[in-house]
Amino acid sequence: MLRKILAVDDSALIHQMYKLFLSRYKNCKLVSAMNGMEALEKLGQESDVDLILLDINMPVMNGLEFLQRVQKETAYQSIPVIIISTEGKEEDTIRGLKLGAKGYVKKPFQASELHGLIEKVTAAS
Amino acid sequence: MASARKRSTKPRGETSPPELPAAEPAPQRWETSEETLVFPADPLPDSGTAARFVLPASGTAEEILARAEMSGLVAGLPQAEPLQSESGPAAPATLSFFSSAQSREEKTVVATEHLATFFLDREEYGVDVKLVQEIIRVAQVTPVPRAPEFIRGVINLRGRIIPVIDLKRKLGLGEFTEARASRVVVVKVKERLIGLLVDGASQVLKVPVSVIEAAPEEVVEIDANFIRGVAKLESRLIILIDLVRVLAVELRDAEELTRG
Amino acid sequence: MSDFAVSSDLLNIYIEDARGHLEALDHCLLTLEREGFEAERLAAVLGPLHTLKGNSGMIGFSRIKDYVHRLEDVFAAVSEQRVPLDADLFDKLFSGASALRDAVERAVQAKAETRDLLAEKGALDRLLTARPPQQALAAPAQALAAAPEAPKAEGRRVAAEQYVSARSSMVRVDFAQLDHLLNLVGELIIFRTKLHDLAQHAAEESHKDGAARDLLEAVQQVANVSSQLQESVMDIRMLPIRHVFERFPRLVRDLSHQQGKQIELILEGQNTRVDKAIIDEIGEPLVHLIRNAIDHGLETPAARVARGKTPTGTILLQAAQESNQVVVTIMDDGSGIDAAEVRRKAIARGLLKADQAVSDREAIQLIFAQGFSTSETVTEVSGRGVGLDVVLKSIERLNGMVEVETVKGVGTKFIIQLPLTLAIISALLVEVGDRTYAVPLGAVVESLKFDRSEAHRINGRETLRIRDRLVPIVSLADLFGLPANDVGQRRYAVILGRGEKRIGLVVDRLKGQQEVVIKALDVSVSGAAFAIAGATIMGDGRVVLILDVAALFDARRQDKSALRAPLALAPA
Repeated sequence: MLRKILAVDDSALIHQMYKLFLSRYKNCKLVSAMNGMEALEKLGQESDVDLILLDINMPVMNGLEFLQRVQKETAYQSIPVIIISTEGKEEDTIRGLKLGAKGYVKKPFQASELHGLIEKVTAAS
Repeated sequence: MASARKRSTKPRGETSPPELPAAEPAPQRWETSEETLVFPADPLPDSGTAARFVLPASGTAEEILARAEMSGLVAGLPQAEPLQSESGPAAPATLSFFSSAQSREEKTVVATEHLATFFLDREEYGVDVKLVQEIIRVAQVTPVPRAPEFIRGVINLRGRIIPVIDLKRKLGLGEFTEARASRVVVVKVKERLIGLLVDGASQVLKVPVSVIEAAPEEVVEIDANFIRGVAKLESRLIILIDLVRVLAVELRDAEELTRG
Repeated sequence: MSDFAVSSDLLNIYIEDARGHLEALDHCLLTLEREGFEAERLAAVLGPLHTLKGNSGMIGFSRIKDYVHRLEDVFAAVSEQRVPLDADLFDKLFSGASALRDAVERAVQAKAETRDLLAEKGALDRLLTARPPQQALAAPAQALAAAPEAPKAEGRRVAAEQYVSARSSMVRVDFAQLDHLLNLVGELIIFRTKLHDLAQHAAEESHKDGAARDLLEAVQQVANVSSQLQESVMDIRMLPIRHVFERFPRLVRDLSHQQGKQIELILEGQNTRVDKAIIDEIGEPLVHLIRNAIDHGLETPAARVARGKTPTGTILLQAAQESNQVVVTIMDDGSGIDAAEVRRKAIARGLLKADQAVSDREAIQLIFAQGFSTSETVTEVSGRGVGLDVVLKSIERLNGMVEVETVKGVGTKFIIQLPLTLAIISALLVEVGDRTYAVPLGAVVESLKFDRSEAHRINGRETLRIRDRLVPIVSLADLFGLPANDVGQRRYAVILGRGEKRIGLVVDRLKGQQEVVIKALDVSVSGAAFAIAGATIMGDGRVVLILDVAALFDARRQDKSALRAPLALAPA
């Protein structure tokens, strides 16, 4: 059951793409945040986030720090996180995975790739 | 490193500025180096030292971490997936921004204090060299009417007008009298430039923290608040001054002072 | 290839972002070129590049993405000092940035990539591989070097077009650079003046010598041009005062709602241009004055109607240029200031003696006195309850003046006069003993010679009769605690004016008029010193202090004996 997806990325364009890719995907709602700090706030406000799509390089609070914090909160630590990766930053992705992210997809990705990974990751939980 | 169009910012003063330690590049907020994290107690998991491999387009944690464990410390490309993204020459993925962070970890750290020293009468004093911008000869000091006695006046420092303080007066050591060896130590504290009148410049040196002790009884004339400690070297004793405390009055907020 | 259509919406978002990132790239390159290697600056450009890369990839512009990736590589290499910041690098980076911009704009236009950036990418590759001594890569480097001319030329040509057809005809300038330019102009003026003096001196000495006169003429021309240069540079720093005014409608709206009053704000003269330094500082005092007007001046709709006024009150905020000044007026049609009320408060606060006879007009000036407004007169709305004394100080710090006119029951008007620019003023140089001081010419009404015997002591104060007026005089030597000059009978008095008031400043010598560049004094000095507004640097490098005329008037008003005690501050 995928009710809400929280997308965290500092690029307005990426959020637009998420809208395109996910608005009719499994009937779920999409919530967006521009950086880790905002994402934490949104987590506090929105009650039923089932998945987090997480960019790493963001101002104010980056993805890894956000992930660290989320892992400490019992309320949030069970929400699966997918890291949106970029080439050249493999190490960040690995770190994210070690911190508890369930999977990753590299930019640029197609809708089908994103959907595929979401299936894999949410099936497990 | 040559840089063709760099504009020279060297001061035109007579004495060359004391050597300042090279600034380390600040961690940029876009990067995820250790320094930017808020929980120092929870260091980021190491991604595996020199292993710089190219990841497939997507993957789950189980798949990737297992593979990473197996490849261990071996640098190179462990998997067979073709590289999809790069269309140009295979950019060696070694161009990671972490190389600088990691090499920084390897440097051994020995605690030292980097000091700039000078003389007041016959005693030697030291301040953190990072605060010292330059040391110059005492040029024309323009007195400021009805200023407190610590402020001897102002001087023209390459177009900037800075106050010049009688450090001896501040420390209760009498009064500054100009002589040939007299100097002005220009310090930058809290973004403000202030000149300190001293009887002579000494040198810039690094002292290991181990030789710094609390000030002994002998140094009783000076207010204990102003002293951070003394450095005991073989043949000399350097009294370390807390400039921020000494200049507390001068460094007061603009509002506080002008409201008077 | 992609499973979504690249819509206009998407492209719009992309191009907006991209333009910003490209701007950041340009800015970084310009700064690096100007100031050399700086780790933080390099780090700051990586973020935008990274986002641009990601975005370009997502929208399907893979060639652009690849190129940006290569740019990132280059910057990383520079950051790690594997590649030097030399002319070759800048050449490639600047033309690369232009090419990138071009490619991006075209791609968005055509909704598909039309330009490959292979040549530019090759150039960057060469940068990356040329330096480290790796033999394996020598061959490709040479191969790439085979056709350097054509792409390079094309890149440059395109770049020129791009800059010309760029969005605006403006150039972005760092304010610090402008300040520096102004400093240079200021110094030029100092030296020009000196040159002029010398030339004049030479011309006088040798009456028949044509050469000296030619010199003087040439120097006049230099003086002319440097004045124009000064004006031009000052002009660049000028911005319309709209920048300050634009936040006020919101402020007025919020405050009037809070207080249940109906207030209309009228703004006039928003295009009046004012030095940026003033724009930065004038906002706060204006906010306080507006708050005061709404808080104490304007009445509630009911009260207004009872008085026969319209229920909606008006605040008029007006800016206008008059000769070399800017005049900002804040006028409200509220309840005005009651002189009797002010008198009462002033006596209560010890600012006025009960039996002191002052005209209504003078009494009202007391609202600017320190200590006049206390917590009692402060409401929650006025915030920290900043009194008008702070407003006065702020304005005087800008070398300006403020006056108030009011009619009880009808309204109040504050008139603020500010110099057009801060940095350079005309000053009269005076000497006391061996010390020189500069008196801002704007405050000087006249200067005259007098004989000591002409001064009379009236009510314990030295006074001079000038035409039909008795002007109190004060010795600068006394004020500053300098040894008095007892030699001779001749003295000079510089008559200073502030509104209707006059003071004569007695000095030993007058040294002529000069334009001086005002240099800031460290706060530890300006706060502690008495009657010093700033300092300037003479042609010979000497520092000359500039008098704070307002402080002189204030001191005059207070008990002068207080000035005799040395101002010793207790050590911290």
